[in-house]
Amino acid sequence: MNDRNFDQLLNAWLDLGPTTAPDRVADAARLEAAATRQLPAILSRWAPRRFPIMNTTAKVILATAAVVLAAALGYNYLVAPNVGSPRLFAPDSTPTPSLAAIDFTQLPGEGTELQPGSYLIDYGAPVEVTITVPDEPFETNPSAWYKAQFDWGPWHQTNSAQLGVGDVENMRVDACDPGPGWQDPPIGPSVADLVAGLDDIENVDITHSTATIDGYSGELLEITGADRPAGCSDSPILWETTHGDEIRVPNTGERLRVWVLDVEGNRLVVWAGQDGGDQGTAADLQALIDSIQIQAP
Amino acid sequence: MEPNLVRRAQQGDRGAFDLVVSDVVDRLYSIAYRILRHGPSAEDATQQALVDIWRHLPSLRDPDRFDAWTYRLLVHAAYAEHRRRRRQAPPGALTDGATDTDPYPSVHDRDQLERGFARLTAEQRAVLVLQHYLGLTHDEMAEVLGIPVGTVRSRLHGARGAMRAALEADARPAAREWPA
Repeated sequence: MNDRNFDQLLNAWLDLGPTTAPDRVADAARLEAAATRQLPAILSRWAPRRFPIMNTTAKVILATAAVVLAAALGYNYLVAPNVGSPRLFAPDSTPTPSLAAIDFTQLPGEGTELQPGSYLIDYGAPVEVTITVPDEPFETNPSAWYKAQFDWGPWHQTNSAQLGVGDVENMRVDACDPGPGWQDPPIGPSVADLVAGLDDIENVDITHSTATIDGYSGELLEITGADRPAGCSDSPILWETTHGDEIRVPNTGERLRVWVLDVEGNRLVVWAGQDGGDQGTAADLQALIDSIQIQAP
Repeated sequence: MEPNLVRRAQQGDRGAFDLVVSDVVDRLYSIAYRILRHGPSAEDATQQALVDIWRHLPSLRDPDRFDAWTYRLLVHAAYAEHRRRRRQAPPGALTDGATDTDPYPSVHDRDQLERGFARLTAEQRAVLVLQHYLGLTHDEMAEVLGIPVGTVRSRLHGARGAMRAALEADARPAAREWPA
């Protein structure tokens, strides 16, 4: 089958199926929206972001998956019951206390703009992590309209760099093939369990060293991007985060650093990657990593 | 979409938002269904996307870009729904199955395409639907999805390869089913 016939077949197949939504969909949405207030534009995670117009230096920083940062913002602006009530969470030089768990999976999006300050990252585990966005514009992006963007989307959805904090939910039986599903039983809870699991992934080059973040020690794994292995339809999946995102092997020329830390018996995973940019971007990313403070349960 | 209607909804006019919903709900549902291949999941994703549209409308700087912006919200709602369903449903329970209302593609091809599609990631499904159902260009897909154009091409390449492999597997034993 040539490409043209294949395209025609896909087009025809995707044309099949319903084109009209049941009335209950619009009715339910209107009802829910009627009980929901709009977010101020400056706080919305859906402000336009257009890759084609971003050059390397404008493609700032940062990133990721510190999901519960979003949850915290969400609690303030999506869940907090009274308009005008005091904010329950705000960037401040002093980390805020732990917040009630929010189901961040119900929040849309792939990032939120951060103002300078310290943020609590409660990712659903007993360990509390704070991160500090510096007061001054990052070196690589003095004029950008955002300074730091936390993005809890998968690796490939990020801009030029990303930083993630959380833990691992599970790993694939086969990192290249979703067919066999997830490991059963799931990957164990210790640092050694995860490190061994990652080492077992075929065709992934991982170097090991010991490292600490905020005084907590563990292993630093450096994963260098490589050509996609034969038979892989996409980059191999390293793990699924506790909030359901898949972290993949970076593309050629990219690098992913993964700290697997033991925080008094609790595993904490911090991952940082960069898919381009310059030394300034790397410095900005490192500044955020260096700002991490960890509070054991 | 009429930009003035969008602007009114941005300013909190719920009546305008109701009209916006009426205008976009079928289109969003059609896309969600094609990504998720499951009616109830598509309904949930569409509903979530509509509520997200309301919540985040003030952040939309250019009402002329409303359609692309809504696609982005919808795709991410579909991703979330895909993850949720994947955790809850037993293998094989996540598709409605091929419809038998159209003689083309053949029933056999549809079965093979459904099988191949079920093995794709949500991200791969989205790029296929955006290209082959909505007819978006790579640049437009990059904007909708918020990813670099190179990543769009990479995902498309993987998705098309998997679909082609599924079509060409007709003489081989059935592939393993992946629960969406």
